[in-house]
Amino acid sequence: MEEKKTIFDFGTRVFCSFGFSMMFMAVFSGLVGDEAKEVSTLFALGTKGVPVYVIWQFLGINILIGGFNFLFFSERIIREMSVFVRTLCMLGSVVVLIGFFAYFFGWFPIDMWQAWLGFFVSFGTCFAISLFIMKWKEKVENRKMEEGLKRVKEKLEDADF
Amino acid sequence: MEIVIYSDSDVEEMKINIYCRKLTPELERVVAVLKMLEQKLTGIYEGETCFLDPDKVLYIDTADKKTFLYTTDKVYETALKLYELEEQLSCAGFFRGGKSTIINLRHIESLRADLNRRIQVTLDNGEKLLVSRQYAEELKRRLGVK
Repeated sequence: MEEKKTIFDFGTRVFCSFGFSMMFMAVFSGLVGDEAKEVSTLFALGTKGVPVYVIWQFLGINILIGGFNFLFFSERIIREMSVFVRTLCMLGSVVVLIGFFAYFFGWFPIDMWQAWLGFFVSFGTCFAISLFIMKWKEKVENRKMEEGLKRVKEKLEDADF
Repeated sequence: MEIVIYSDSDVEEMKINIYCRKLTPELERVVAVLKMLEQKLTGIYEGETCFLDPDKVLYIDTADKKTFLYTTDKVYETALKLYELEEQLSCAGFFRGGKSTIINLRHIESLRADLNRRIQVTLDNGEKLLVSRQYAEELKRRLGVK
């Protein structure tokens, strides 16, 4: 039985990722804001800060990504799908979504291959790191459960004698 | 129904005789409850009532308000309800895996974390079961992981 998720769980997830993305934006603005303000609306204020419209755009994209996460990983809508395919669908959706935002809000020049390369490298790196952490956490958890199972089985066998 | 109890200090082993016109589902439940006291499960297979060691049961499942005991090669129906079995068998290494499942820890081959914090259980006959998120936490506590 799947535990019922509420709108508050969704909100927590969205605002958590929104907080992190804004923190990274603040850091990057401070580091490369002045150099990037000519080519990206994200850094229009240079090192002075993050524009308010960018904050709203980031909130919007985080809500949509939260929606994709619900769609692909909650099993309420899509029931029969492997974790691998779900991850691929999520990845594809996020890339398309960011592409749309980049195009409509001028996040970076879409006709500039270096910008796309930068996007794919940074996105790919973040995705690979999060996937690695997720897999590592899963591996540790599986190992702990196997050890626990072994202990419990031994206890049960001891109780038999 | 009349219940007669004879008390005799010379009796070495307790014996229960049931006199009836025919074996009804209610009587089957009475027998099943009595057998539970000596850690035996009562299951019906092809019309025959059998007594099983809980160790032999891989998992217990309910479907259409009926409870089934799954062993390596047979599926027995039991008159007992899932909650009654859960109460009696928790000390024998069984745990609740979901709303309609009780799993025997002794027959688990491996455990794997699954989507949405569930746990995928592979039994020693190769069968795979899912422990729901709600019961996964309890299982982890029992395994000493949490």
